[in-house]
Amino acid sequence: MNLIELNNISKQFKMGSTTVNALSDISLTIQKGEMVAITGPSGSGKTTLMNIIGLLDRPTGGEYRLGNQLISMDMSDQKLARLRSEKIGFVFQTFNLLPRLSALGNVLLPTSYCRAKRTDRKSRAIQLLTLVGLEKRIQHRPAELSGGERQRIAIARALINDPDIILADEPTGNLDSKTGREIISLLAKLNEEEGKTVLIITHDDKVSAKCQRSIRILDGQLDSRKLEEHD
Amino acid sequence: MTDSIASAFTSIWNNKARSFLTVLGVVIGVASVTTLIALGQGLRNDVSSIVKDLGTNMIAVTSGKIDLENSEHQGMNPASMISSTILTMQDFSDIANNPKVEVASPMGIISKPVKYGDKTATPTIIGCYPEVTQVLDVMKLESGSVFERRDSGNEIVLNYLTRKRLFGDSDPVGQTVMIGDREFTVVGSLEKALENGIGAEYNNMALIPFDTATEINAGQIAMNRIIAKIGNAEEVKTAKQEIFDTLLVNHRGVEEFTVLTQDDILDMFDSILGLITTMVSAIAAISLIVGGIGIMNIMLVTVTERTKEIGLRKAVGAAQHAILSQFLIEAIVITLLGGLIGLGIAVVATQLIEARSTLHPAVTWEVVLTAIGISTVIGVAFGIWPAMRAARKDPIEALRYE
Repeated sequence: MNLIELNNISKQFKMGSTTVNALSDISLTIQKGEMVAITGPSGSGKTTLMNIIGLLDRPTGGEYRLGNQLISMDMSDQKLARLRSEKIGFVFQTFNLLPRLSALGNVLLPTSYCRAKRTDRKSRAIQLLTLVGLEKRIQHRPAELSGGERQRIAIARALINDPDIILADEPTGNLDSKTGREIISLLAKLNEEEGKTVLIITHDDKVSAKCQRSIRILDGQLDSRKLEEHD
Repeated sequence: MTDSIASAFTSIWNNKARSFLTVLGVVIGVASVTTLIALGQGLRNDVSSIVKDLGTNMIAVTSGKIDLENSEHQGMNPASMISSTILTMQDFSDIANNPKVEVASPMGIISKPVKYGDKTATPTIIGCYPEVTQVLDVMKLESGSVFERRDSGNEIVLNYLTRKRLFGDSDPVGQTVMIGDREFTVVGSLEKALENGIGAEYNNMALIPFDTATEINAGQIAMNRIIAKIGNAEEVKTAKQEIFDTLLVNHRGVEEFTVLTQDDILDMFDSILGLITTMVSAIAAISLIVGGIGIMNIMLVTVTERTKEIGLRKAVGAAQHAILSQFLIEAIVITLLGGLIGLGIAVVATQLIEARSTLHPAVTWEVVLTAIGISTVIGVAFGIWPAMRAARKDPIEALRYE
């Protein structure tokens, strides 16, 4: 089943009088349950692609289907926000935890914006913190935790609303290589055991090698020569 | 909603010093506005209880026209107020004979000192009928009695202050005092009428028979005022109209007198006090605007500081209205806290004023709700723009912000 389907997606930015083509003519599909790496040098447009897939940005051309939902270019801010909260969990390079909240508070944050209010949200958050191995750090604040631990909180936070997709933008970029490997293993475990579709943006070949396949972006276009299948 | 409130408190708590300085303007503004409103309210209460204490169902007729309706001519002509020649015995007997009037008395003022031995007092001496004490409830006898008739001769009822001054604490009844070269026998003395500043003139009114006052006045009738008590409370309004109509005929259609009920007197005070309270509060409200600008300033700083947080919240599903309400609630919580602190200060201030002066400021529910209302309005008015800036931030830009 196609979870993500992009047809001829393009994105143009206006910079003064010149128009920059950040993405042109991207067509790709990602199946439910896949773990896919999106790679490419910096400035290639992979972050723009992730923003569009993550519904933070709208394409200027083409068609985007998420599940059975057609994402139109004039979809309201509120509709996009709701889809984000239901379908997508973000993991960022810089973790983006709120420093004044505990690990638990950070994991619970997305539930304030979710329409389907869960009565058991706190116990679910604790369950998720246990899943990522932080059951002893529930009341700690981010400043008291290591980088790897912070990224684990971020992963638990991405999972709290039970999304279809986890979008990870350079999740290992701020971690040492050993911790980075552990985070990728955790994402792989979520993919295998929980059936989550995982998209990882990375320029680290060791990371992309852990994924089932890689999509390479170059100058805003799919680099068809390097479409790889891993195993 | 509860999440936003909790988050607002966390954010305020994490920036204690800054939050305190931010709300200071609102604290001062709310404290001064509520104290002033409470003072005005207290003054109104005092006036209304004094006017009610004067007597029940009272109508007063004075010479001179007080225009209560037309603001251009509002106020009174002081010359006509003290003139004693406009109201006549005919006016008085017409009023006294009105079937709705239970009892009435004229009041004429004599300005002469009262002497006892080598001591002198200067009360307002009122020439009146003995019925005056039935109309004016404030006049209660401490000892003795009132003279029996309007022509009882040289008899006097001493007021509280004069009795105190001339006789100290001893009973003056039966003693002789001098007004000019006339000897007066003291037949009664009055209780202290009212503690308060505004009604205190009643502590300074000595009573003599009406005809005696006319004699002192070289045969000319002194009648500055006629007071009457209406038997039935529901008839006060119609009685006022009847008295007015009668007097208008007596004065050949010239409205050179005023007929006042207690409600009229209250309305007059109310409108003057209301105006003063509004003006003074408006001046104090300037500090609220300054406080509001302080709130807006700090909210703009907060929004910029928390750009990344806004981006993150949007990424995890917050729509614009959720961000808007979060920052708006934070602004309202800050100003509301300031308002409550200000209200607390106002309560302490009014209690100090109560203890150290003759004023009785009243912190009513109205005042409390005004304080809370004002702070909420300030929070919304000055918090909305920063909150809108937060809500409109582009999530991608915001996440990238360092």
